[in-house]
Amino acid sequence: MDECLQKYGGLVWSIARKLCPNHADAEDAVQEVFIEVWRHAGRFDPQVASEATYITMIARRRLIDRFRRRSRQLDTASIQEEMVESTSRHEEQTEIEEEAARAREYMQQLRPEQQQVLELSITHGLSQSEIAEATNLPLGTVKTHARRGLMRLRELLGADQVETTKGDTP
Amino acid sequence: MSDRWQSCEARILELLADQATFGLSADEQEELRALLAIMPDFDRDCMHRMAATIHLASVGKAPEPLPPSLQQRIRARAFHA
Repeated sequence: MDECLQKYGGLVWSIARKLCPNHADAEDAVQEVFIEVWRHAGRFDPQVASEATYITMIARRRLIDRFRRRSRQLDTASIQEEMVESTSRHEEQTEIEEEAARAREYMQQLRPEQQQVLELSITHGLSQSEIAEATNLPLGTVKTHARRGLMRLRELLGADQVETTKGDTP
Repeated sequence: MSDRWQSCEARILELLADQATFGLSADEQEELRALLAIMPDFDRDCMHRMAATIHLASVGKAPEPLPPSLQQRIRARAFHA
């Protein structure tokens, strides 16, 4: 439990701070996320997703559930970055940074409009109509970009996993 | 794979993508439930994983650490859960 908190606490906290309207709500959300992570730890399959992706997935779901329950406007303020002090925390952080860098590489392979719509939706929590307004795109086009972007990402990650598996074969 | 099967799979992917981004209406949720009943082994988390990947891409070089007081509360809550 401590290891999980040390390793992924910052990641979950950063997501909660982005998607929760205030500090108190983010604290409640993070508690719920970790309780759920421990309850469903047995469902984690390293063949399907990394630990960071699995925990991010649980965090997103929990936060979206909370958000939809409350139907409140999201605070899209960016998260301030801090210098890392301890060596162990630095190592744990490096692993997440590497995973984030890989994720950014995949994102960069999407069409710019797909990246934009997905970032506004997933990272900033904007609704379809808010994105349409912000980008001057028709509502249907916003949905199409989101769908195609996610499907392309799935193809890219799937192809990468196949390559990794081939590479593992003696 | 039959055309019907492929169109079923394509529609599931569309609905899962919508679910992971903008959410589904009650009718769409019902449609997804019915389609997944036809294809029970379908990876229903696939689009949520993609969304998690996009979220990871937005993580800064050193995200703010979890406040120590919050860590303590989580430990206490986990102990009693």
